[in-house]
Amino acid sequence: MKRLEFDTSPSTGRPVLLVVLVIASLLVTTLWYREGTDGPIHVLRRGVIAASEPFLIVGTWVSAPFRAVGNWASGASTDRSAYEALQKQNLELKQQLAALQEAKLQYYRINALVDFVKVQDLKSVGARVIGRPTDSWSGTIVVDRGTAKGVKIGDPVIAAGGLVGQVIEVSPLASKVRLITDPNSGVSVIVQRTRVNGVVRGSLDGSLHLDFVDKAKKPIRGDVLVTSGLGGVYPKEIVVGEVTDVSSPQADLYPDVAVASRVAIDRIEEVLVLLDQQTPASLPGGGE
Amino acid sequence: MNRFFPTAIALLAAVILQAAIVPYLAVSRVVPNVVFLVVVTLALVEGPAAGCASGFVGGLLFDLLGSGVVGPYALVLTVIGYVAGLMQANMFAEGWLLPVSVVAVASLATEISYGIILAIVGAGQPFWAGLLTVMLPGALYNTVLAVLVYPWLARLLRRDRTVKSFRRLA
Repeated sequence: MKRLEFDTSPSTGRPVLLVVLVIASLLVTTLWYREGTDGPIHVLRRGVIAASEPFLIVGTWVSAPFRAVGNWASGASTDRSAYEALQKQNLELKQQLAALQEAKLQYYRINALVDFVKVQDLKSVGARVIGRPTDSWSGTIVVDRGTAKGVKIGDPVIAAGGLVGQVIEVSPLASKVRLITDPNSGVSVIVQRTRVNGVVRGSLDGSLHLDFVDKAKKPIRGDVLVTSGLGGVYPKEIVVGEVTDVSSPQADLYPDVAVASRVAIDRIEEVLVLLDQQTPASLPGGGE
Repeated sequence: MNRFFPTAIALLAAVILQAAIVPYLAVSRVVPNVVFLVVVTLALVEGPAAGCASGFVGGLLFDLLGSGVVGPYALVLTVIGYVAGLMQANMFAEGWLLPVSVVAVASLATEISYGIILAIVGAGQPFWAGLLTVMLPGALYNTVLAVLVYPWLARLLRRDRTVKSFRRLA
C-alpha cells in the first residue's frame, strides 16, 4: 500500500474572496430580516418558487411509481392485529360520527333560534402537492395553486383529516405551505372536550406537541384538538389532531402532551386551500 | 473561464435535483443534500477559490429553495467549500477514501454550523434534538451518497485528472 503523503506546498486559497463572500452572506441574512415581504430577497424567493414549478411537477410525475411501491410496501406490513384494531376503531368512529351529526343538527337548530353565530361559509380551492421539504430542518410543501387562483399568504390549508398548514409564500402558479409539523409552526387550539386552550407545536422529527396547558386541566388520551380561531389565522373548529400520550413531570410547568395528526402529512398528495381568510399583519413563527 | 459553464451547470442541476427529486429520497424526514455534495466535489477538484464561490452560490440557492432565513447556508457552504478546497492538492493520491472522509467531516461540520447559526439568529431548535434528528443522520446520509456518487461526479467535473473508482481500489 502506498504511503499517504500530504502536499505541504503553500495554500493556493484566496482568503480575500472568502472574506468577501462571508461578508456577502452576512449582508444577505441581515437584509432578509430588515426588508419587508416585498424586498428583493423575498421577491427572489418567490421567483425561485415560480421557476422551480415545472421541475417540481416533473419530479412528482417521475417519483409517482416509486411512491406507489413505497405505499404498497408500508401497507403490506399491516398485520392481523392491526387490521382488527382498525376495524374496531372504524366501528367506534361510525358511532361517534352518528352522535356528532345529531349534535351538529341540534347545534344548527339552536343557532338559528338565538342567532348567536353565523355559520362560516368557507371558500376553498383544491391543490395538488408538487414539492416536498428540500431540507431536514423545515417542514414545507409546495402546492400547484397560487395568486392566479386567489391564494394569499396566510391562507390555511386543510385535508380530509384536518389542518395541514398555512401558506407562507405565493407565486402566480404555486404556493409554499408551512406544515403544522414544521419546528417553527404553532397553532392555537382548544381541547374539544374541556375547551381548554393550548398551542400545538411541530418539531424536527415531525411529531406534534401540545404546549401551555394547565396541569390541572390536562387532556387525556384520545382528546380531540381543534383550532381555537384566536388570532384570526385559522377558522374555528378545524381538527388539528388527537392526544396520544400525556405525561406530567413534576419539575415541568406544563404537561408533556403528544399529539397525532389525522392527516398523513408526510404522504399527503391533495389539499384544500381556504380562501378569503383574514390575513394576519405578520406571521411570527409561521402560525397563530 | 472554460470551467465556468460545467461548474454552473453542475450547480444548477444539483439545485433542480434538490427541489424536485431528492425530497422523495428522504428517510425518516432526513433529506440528503446534493448541493452540498456538488460544492464539496467542486472544491476538491478545483480548489479553494472555486470551492467558496460555488459554496456561496449553491448555498444561496439552497436557502432560497427552503422556507427559513436566507443567507445562513450560503455562509456555511462558503466556508466549507473553501476549507475543503484547501485539500485539493492531496486528492486522488489514494483513491476515494480520502475524499469521502473529507465529505463525511465536511457534512457533519456543515450541519452543526448551520444548526448553530440558526440558533444564533433565533430560528433554531434545541441543539441536542437537532444533533440526533438532523445533524448526525444527515451527515451519515450525505456520506453514503458520496460513496455512491463521488467518483463519477468528480470525473464528470474534471476530466483531466484520474479519479479512482471502487473497482480499481479493490
